[in-house]
Amino acid sequence: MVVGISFVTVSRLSTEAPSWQPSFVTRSILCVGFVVILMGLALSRASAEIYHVRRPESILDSLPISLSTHLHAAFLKRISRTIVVAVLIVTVRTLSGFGQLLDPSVLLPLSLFVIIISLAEILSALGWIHCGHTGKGITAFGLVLVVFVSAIFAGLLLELIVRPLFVPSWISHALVIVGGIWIVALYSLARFLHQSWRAFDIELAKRIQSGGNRNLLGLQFLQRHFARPVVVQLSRDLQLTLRAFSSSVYVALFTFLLLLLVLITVLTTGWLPTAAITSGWFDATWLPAVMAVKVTCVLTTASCSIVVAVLVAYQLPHLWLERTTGASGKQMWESKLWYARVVSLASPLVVWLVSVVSGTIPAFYLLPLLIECIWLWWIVSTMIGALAFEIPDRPELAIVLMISFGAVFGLLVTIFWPIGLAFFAVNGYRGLTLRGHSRARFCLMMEGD
Amino acid sequence: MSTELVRVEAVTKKYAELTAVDKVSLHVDAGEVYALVGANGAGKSTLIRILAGIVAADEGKVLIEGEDLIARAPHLKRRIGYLPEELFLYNRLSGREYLRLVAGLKDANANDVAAEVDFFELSLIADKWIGGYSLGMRKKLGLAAAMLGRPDLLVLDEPLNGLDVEMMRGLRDRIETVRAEGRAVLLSSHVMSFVELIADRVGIMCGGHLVAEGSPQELRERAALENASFEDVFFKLAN
Repeated sequence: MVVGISFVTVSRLSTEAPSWQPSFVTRSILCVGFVVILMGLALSRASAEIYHVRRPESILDSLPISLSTHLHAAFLKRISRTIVVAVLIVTVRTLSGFGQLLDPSVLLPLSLFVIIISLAEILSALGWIHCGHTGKGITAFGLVLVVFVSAIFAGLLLELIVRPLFVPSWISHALVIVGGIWIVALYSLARFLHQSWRAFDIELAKRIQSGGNRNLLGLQFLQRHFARPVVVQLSRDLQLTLRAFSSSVYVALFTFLLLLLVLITVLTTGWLPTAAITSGWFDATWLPAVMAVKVTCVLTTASCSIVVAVLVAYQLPHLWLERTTGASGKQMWESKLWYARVVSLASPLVVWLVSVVSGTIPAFYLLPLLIECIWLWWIVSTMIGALAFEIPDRPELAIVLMISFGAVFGLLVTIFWPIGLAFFAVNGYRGLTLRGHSRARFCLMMEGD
Repeated sequence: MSTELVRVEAVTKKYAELTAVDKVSLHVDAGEVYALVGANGAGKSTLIRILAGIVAADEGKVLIEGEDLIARAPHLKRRIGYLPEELFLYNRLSGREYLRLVAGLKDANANDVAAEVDFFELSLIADKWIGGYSLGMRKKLGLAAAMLGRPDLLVLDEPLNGLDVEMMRGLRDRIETVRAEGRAVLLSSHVMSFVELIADRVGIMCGGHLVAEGSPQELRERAALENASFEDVFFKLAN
């Protein structure tokens, strides 16, 4: 089902994409956004590859191997991973009818794209570990700037790869030349920083940080409503999220901000079709601006809630603790359900606030819209949280599943909010709860070794 | 008369073609320290994981005061304190946060956390992230977590690995206190001198079988090695 949905979505996108004609600036922004997400996703993996954190390769640190060899090995690993993305991009480009699969003219921009992203990932990982400990704000700012400029270069190169004919020729020539120079600069900088920082940072990378105790393990007041094991698990999960247990936390945050930006743009630039202002409540729910707000609410809620899939996968090796302390599957499931709700709690409120500030929503519908947003948040986060243990060891598949059910159902509810009531009326929630309990129990019973 | 706390009945565990534990039966009484010894791969850790409820036995069962561990898991597991040989801990939690988490999962008294932090000399590092702990510190943290909630049965897999001499002595004293309180300890160790000193009964495992069992003195007599080291006794009986 997941493969089918993915295939249909990609096919549809490929078919529809040629008729979509966004401006050069819009395309470039989307490309840069894509590159930033790609880099964010690679952050913790890249740092583990450089410093061999919790990897068998850590034995290499005790062997007479030069520092640059460690860097080059990590760089090659990054390149091998980015090449996969590049191949996917070229395949989608071909499917969309923008060029041939083996087009020699895109080879150079494609190579530059892969190398710039790989180097930027290395640099951001180096900076993440170093600045995370030393707290050097200026260094961190400088590196963020360099990485962001790299993302712009890579984004423009991506634009050149996907739609070469739509990029002015002087830009494409300049991109290739400046991109080449930028690669040399990035490599030199990465090599210099790695040489200077490795000896100090390698221990810190393995020992991670020791400060910043925003302690959430004291959420005692929740014990009035939930069993204590549920409260401590929920508190632990939120604590780990605040401490960015995975780079997916950054990606979720970035996606959330990106969606907000899109909403602000849509509401303030007149992109939406004009509709007669109505005074009827039922009519107002389908106003373009109201629909845009509700869709954004669904998407932002989903983007925050799906971190639960990564969290469950991250916690699998630690599950011996729950297994040996008598935590039940029901308690585990409840904690993840509430986690999905809590981490996305800001979505309906922020999205609604944006709609209020934009002034595009009729005043009489502001309160109903807030209620609709909260309703959508509840539906989407509940469905996503309830599926937390469906595919615990494959977060990427779990995310597709969660989006397929949570966000798609949320979008249906966006069109007509009583559909959400039907979910509860036909015992959908009860079925989901029972399945969630049994999946969590199954996960708990699976042998840890 | 001693009360039987744990009974392991003909437990067998197989991993594909390998039989890690083969029809092992034993019992541990309240107020008793039982030590499992054996070479690497003898099946000690697998048996301990079965006792801790992490791994399910293919055959046989584990009874805690007559109740099946699998059937009544949550209620019974809270009566067991477990220290695994290899500790997977949350690197981004501090030691104190981790102990609070364990106390919450066991529904144990949260005030015990401070006492365990003091006993295992973790005060200076308790608010640092676990990712920065050395092997010894992690072991102490694992021991502190196992002790939380005053469990009736402590299951300790290689508790001495990484501990300094002072803490080894502290752990020995603690185990003796646990025994004196009428609770039980089941541990595995390769340090024979420690085992001989602390254990009331010793089970020797070899190739998944329990090949010999008895008090250290009984095992000496069976091996006919009255004045030799306990290591020699082990070698003779294991082979």
